[in-house]
Formats: sequence, structure tokens, C-alpha cells
Amino acid sequence: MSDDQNVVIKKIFCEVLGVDESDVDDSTSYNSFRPWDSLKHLQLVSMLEDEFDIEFEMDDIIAMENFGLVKKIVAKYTQ
Amino acid sequence: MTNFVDYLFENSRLSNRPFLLESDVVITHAQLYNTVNEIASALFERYGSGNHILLISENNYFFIASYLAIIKSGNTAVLIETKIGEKDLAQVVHSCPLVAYFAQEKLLDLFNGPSVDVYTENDLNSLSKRKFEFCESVHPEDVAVIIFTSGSTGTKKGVMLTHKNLIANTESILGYLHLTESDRVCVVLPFFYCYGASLLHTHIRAGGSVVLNNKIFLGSVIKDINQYECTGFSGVPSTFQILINKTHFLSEEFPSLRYFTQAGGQLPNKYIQLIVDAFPQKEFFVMYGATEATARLSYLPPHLVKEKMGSIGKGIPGVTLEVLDRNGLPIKPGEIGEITAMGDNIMKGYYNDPEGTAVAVRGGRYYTGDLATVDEDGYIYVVGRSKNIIKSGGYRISPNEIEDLILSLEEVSGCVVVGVPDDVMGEAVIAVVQSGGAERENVSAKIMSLCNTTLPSYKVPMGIEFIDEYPLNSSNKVDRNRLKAVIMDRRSQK
Repeated sequence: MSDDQNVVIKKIFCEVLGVDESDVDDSTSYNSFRPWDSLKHLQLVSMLEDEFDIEFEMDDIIAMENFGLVKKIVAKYTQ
Repeated sequence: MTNFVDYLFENSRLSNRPFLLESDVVITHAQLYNTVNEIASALFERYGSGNHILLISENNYFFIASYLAIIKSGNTAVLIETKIGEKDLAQVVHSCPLVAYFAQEKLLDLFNGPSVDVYTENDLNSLSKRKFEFCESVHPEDVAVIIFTSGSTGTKKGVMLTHKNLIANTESILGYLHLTESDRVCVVLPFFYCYGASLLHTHIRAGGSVVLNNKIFLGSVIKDINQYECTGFSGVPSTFQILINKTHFLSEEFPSLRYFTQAGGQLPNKYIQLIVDAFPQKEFFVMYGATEATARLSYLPPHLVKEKMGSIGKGIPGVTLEVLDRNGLPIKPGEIGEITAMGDNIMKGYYNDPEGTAVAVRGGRYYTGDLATVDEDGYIYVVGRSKNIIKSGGYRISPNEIEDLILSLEEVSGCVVVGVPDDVMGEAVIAVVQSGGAERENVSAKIMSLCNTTLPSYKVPMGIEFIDEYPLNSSNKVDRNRLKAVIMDRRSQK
């Protein structure tokens, strides 16, 4: 996965959740990071799909449980 | 008088059947009942009864055990939403004297050093060490729960529900859903919301079971319903709209599933139609209610869902539901009036707000603020909220009719109509539309052409705006006030 792509993903992630980029690292997880709720996740998925012109499988949407996984899963579709 | 919790476990307290199923643990009715008693006796010993204890948590074992134990101990469980903002939380804590908090650990940072005892998931074990049957008698009018809910004015209102209210509504709901011990519901609605709480209550009382789904994506319920062989699934409009628009929900078979329930606002007819067409063998219950009525007020029998499309049905057993005109008389078919309700499920009042209570409950009758009409057979159709009426050019316009019309277009997946201030008309009717990938100019043209040919001119939208996601409130309903603000902001920049 390219660094450029990861920069874009992080920007989108932080924009959707309304948080600072410094608050987010690969281990930032859905279960413990309060701003990340299921509605935000839905928005995040839509924005990533639009940005990279991809469409996620449902299992992948469910598997994005931390920020590191979000990047990995997007990379799977853009490679 | 029976404590609500004892009523719930009356038939199942010795049962070894599962109540809560999670991937790594199964809790039986008997286990839950014993734990609840143990925690309740610890709470009684520490705080006595008649006090307020705050509970904030997502749906999990911690919520269920703490909630029931607080009520069982003769104290009042004060419920707030997990997404509560600092200002609202401060308002609740300030207005309501609390002796202790039960808070999910991940939500602890909401509180800056509370001055009372705080219990998290880690404290349940030490609280439930005592082993004896605990019995604290209550009065039927004692308040078991206060649910803080978003008021239309912006401040939180604390709806006080008594043991009597909770027992009456649970009994009524069981009277038409006919749940048994073999029923198992997949829960996505939060328990701090009255509809979610009603799922918890009815399934304990029936001896059935619950599967909690707090997963990152709603689509995961498809797997859960099949894996845990759930018989029921309950949602608000957005639940079903997300499942239909974002997953392959409609092409699933769900062999174990017997019924769906839908409440918490009007699901547009086209989605109801899609669901009943996709699942002709399953029952689809359209229901209507309010926190002020404990949860439920009406339901439409599933066999009538096509014939009475869009209706919320009639009052549930034990509830007198009437649509009254300004003079307090029942309306005639086709007229519009306000939905009112009487029954043992109507709240005791709003906490610390006698004026607000006196407006909402008059002469034992609860005025919902929802406007409706009835058909010749007495079935009720909501046409709008009294506060959700657009006044344009001297006309009162209910957004629902326009929304339903626009939603009938294939290219439109969501439509909310709002009134924004307008120099000439008072308020201008604006349709805020979700349209997926369709070309916006074409969609706009189609909407205008449809409205112009179908609606009287004063109802035709003066503008069409596109939006990706609607702002939602804590009950996952579209927050019309925030949406209005977004649209006004957008239009002022043009």
C-alpha cells in the first residue's frame, strides 16, 4: 500500500470522525475509540468507496475494526 | 405490589434456558435472576431505596444486570444515551441527585471525577457475592426508571416510568406479539431507548432469549440472525433502510425468523412494500409508541400491512388510543387531529418539570403531539408531528405526503422535506434528497415533474437539495432541526 494512499485514508477517517490526526494510529479501535460509532462507520465506508472508486464486500466492512485494518482492507481493493 | 423485576422473572427465575447469548458466553434466566438479586441486596445495603442511580452503557451483560438490580433494590435507574454530549450530561447530573453511577469503562472519561461511587464492568463480581433472596417491596407508583430523552425544545426531558407502567406495557406487548420461551430476538436498538428496553423486558417475561449485536456494521445482523437462529428482529426506519440499501438483506432467507417489528417513526411505504414482498411468509409488525407511554401505543396486525399500508394500526391491548380534534372530540374519517392515549402505561410525568407534565398529560390522557387521520375502519395514519408542520403561504403542509411521493421514484433512496424561512411564503418547502449514484440534474428534473403533476402548487418543493447522510439524533431518527440548519446554511452561501 502506498504512503500517499494512507495519508488520504487518514484524512478521510479523521474528517468523518471529527478528530485530530494526532489522535489516530493503527491500533485505534472501534471498540475503545468513542467517536467511532456505527453511523460514522457507515459514512466512512461511503467516503472511502467514493474516493477510491471501489465497493467493499460486507465481510470487509465488518472486519475494519481498527485503523490499521481499514488501511489494509482498502489496499486489498486498490492494488 | 410486585416489583417490576419480580414480575419479569415470575415464570423463569428457576429456568436453565438461555437468556443472553454471546459468542463466548451464555447466561441463563436463573443465573441472571440470582446475580440481579445479589447486586440489588448490595445496593440496598449501601444506599437503601428511593434514590437515583445513573446507568450509562452500551447493550451488554453489564447493562442488563445493573439495570435490573437498581430497579429490584427499590431505587430508580436513570438512563442516558451513550452518545450524550457534555452539556446534556451536566444538565442531567445537575438536575437529578444521584447516589451512584454504573458506567461502562470505556465511557468513564465522560465524567470528570464524580463525587459519588462509580461501578464498572469490573465491579459486578464483587457486588454479587452475597447469596440470598432479596425482597424490597415497592408501591405501584414508585418510579422504577427515568429515561432522559431528547425534547423538541433542545433540553433533555426525564420521563418517569413506574413499576405499574412497565408491567402494564410489557403485558400489552406480549398480548399481541405472542412471544414464547422459544423466541429469540436479535437486538440492535439500545436498551436506554424505550423500544430497545421493551425487547429486554418482553423476552425475560416470556422466558425467551436475546442476542446482542453492537457490531461496527449493521449488516452483521444477517449473520447473527442465522447463526443464533433468531426468531425476531426489531428496528427503527433507518435500521431497515440501511439494511436494504447497503446489504443483500432482501435476498436472504432467514429460515429461523418468524417476524420483524418496526417502530420509532414512519418507515416509507416503499420500504415496507419491499420487505413484505421479499418475506411473504414472515410477519411484519408496524408499531407506534412514545417514551412517555413506556414504549408502545399501537400496532398494525401483520395480515393488514398491505391493505392498510402506512397505518400505525390501532391501540394495543390496555391502551385507549384516540385521535381528537381541537375540541377534544374524536375526529371523523379523513379529518386530522392529535393522537392521544390513556392507559396504565402512561408516564407519571417529566422529572422536575410539573409544567411540562401538565402540557403533555391532561386528565390522565397523554397528548402525543402527533397528527393523524383515521380511515372508515378506525385505522390510524400519522400525517406529521404537530411541530413538524410546514406553514407556507398560509397553508399548513405535512412533509410526509411530499416525502412519500418523492420516495416513490426509483432513483431516490431517501427524502426528508423541511420548511426553511422564506421572505414571501413564510416557509419554503425544501426536499432534501439522497439519490445514490444517479445524475443529480436528472433526478431534480424528475422530482419536479412528478410533484408538479401530482401535488397542489403550494406543496411543490421550492428547492431540492442533495445530501449524502442525514444528521441523526440519538434515537437514529433524522434530526430535522439540524437538517434544516444545514440546508439554511447551504442556501445562504449560494
